[in-house]
Amino acid sequence: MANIELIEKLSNAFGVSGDEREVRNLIRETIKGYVEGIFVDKIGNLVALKGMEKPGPKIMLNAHMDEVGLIVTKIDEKGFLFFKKIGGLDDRVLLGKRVIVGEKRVKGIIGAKAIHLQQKDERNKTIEYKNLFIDIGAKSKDESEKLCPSGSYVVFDTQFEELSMGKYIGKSFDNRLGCAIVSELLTEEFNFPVIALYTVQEEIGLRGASVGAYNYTPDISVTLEGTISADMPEIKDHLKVSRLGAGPVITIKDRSVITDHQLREKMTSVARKQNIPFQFKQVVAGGTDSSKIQLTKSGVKVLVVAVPARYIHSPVSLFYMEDYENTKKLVREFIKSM
Amino acid sequence: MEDLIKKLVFAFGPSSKEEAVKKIIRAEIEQEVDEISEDKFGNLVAHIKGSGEKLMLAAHTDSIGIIVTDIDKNGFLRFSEIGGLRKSFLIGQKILLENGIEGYVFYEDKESPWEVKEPKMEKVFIDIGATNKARAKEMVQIGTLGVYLPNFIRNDSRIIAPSMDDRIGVYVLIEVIKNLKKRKSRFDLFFVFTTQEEVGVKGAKVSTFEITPDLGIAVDVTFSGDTPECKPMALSLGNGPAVKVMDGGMIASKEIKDELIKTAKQEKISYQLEVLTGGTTDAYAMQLTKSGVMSGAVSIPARYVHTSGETIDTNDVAGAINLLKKYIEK
Repeated sequence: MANIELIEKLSNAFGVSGDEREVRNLIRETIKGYVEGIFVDKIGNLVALKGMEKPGPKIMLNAHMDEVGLIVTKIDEKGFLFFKKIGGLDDRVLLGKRVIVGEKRVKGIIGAKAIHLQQKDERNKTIEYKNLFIDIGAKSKDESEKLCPSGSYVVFDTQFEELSMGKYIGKSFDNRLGCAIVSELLTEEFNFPVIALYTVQEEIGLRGASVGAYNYTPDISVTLEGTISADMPEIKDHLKVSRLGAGPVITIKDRSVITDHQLREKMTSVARKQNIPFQFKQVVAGGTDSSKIQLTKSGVKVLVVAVPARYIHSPVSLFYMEDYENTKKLVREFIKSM
Repeated sequence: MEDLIKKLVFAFGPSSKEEAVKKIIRAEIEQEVDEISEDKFGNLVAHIKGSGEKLMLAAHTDSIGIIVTDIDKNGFLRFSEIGGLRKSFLIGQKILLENGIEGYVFYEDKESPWEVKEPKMEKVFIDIGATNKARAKEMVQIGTLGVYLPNFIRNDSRIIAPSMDDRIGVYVLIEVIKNLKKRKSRFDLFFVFTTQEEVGVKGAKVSTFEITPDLGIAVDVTFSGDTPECKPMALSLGNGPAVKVMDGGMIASKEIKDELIKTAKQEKISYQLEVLTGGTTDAYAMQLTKSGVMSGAVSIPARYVHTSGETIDTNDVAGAINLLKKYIEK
């Protein structure tokens, strides 16, 4: 059974690309009883080692810890916070959203000029992030600066919640779901060495992964992700990317990588034998840590498996627990079959 | 010459599925080299032992292609590109899929019947002549790869065919291996037939890490500037192989460039100089691996690159083989 508590804690944790501390500490606490070595590398990736003395291929389980968010760039005279985006965020998902800012976890709202004060032609356009600001209810620049100075990170203020039976909403399912699966898998026993690589700064250019596999380089790596499910009205069938309820999403090719054909065929045959539903990622979009791990040293064979989720990279995403369970099961059974 | 080039062109080998191409290469060279093996990434590495610095020569085995992403309810295939597919030259093309099935590319023509206004990947599809989805699924699956249907036109010294990029480079290296006076080689030679060049010079990157050469030379196609009203490019078919000065990814090491030019002059081989503004080769990956590798390239001028009718001149090919052979043998 999925560790819903863990998913909840990870989803609610504050960890925008560049400051993944809270997520890293939470994962460390969760896995420390199950692995032999844990360390943090120079860029902030969390690496855990399990069974390194065992024979057999070295398997890596990879998930990125960071989420997309905002960063405060400037505070105006009245105490409003102006910001930039970190990672891919559609400007349309920002206006009117509740956020949490900085070390002190100050609550705020993203605002803009009130609608009745906008020019007529302004009303139909998406307001660019440059013209938005965060309002923390401060009375002055000074007050704001004390609470959340420039450089403060911002996440969406969304609490993990069960929407209805087996359906959950929350923030950063891309990629706390991946982190949760890797952490849960580390509680199991395997016949060969397992290296867990929880990376930083994936959302801003796969940076953690660029160096993350250098110290302990695997033979095979499986990247766990939370991926786009655009199975919504008016989207043409071939552009839906993936569907909720249809099981783990296996990537054949995305913008950054072609996964290993042989290993992927092995994985799908394991899925069929064990009756685990699965689907292929149907649009060649997005990039993952796997592309960087693949090119480490003399090369690594990589796979990418994801839990489908709607509305990723926005304040609230949605996933089905059955997809999470099947994703975890598929990866577990695949590794065991090695 | 023509037979082996044709064989290579007809081998199915989009990025990540280059087995058929590697098989041909192996058969051609295994008797001529000291060691031959495939590394972890699938690069085919042939070693001709020698004293002296390590020289890595690379040509990529993969070609651009397509990947099936969806089979719709009527049996039409949706697909995405592998490598730099030129969308304007896609509609109306025949595709060969990996299991031998062939199909024709067309587009959603409601908004622009008769002529294509804007070629977009979301609006194109392949018709493999399947009568319904079930029949189509018997023939292909999501993830099936495809390439432009191989064909081969030969007139005078010119060849027109898809995948000259980079089967011609592969051919050049095979012929260098066959014609090399191995005892005269001043290098410890590694001929690497790389994989996945078209999707990010990947094979070359990991192979260079593994071999750690001192020098690297890539053999690939480059653009020519000799067709009507074309973008200015000081390269013409028939004027000889091109010594790379610079491309979109790197500036060639002066030592290698100068030595190649010197060799060409001494051996009276016609050559041209290449400055390319867009595009790059495996040499770019070699140059920035570990603590760096002195890298350069010898290029075959080609017309219509990344279309189904890439055109080269066999005199340039012969010149490239001779140039590399003499460069190694000095």
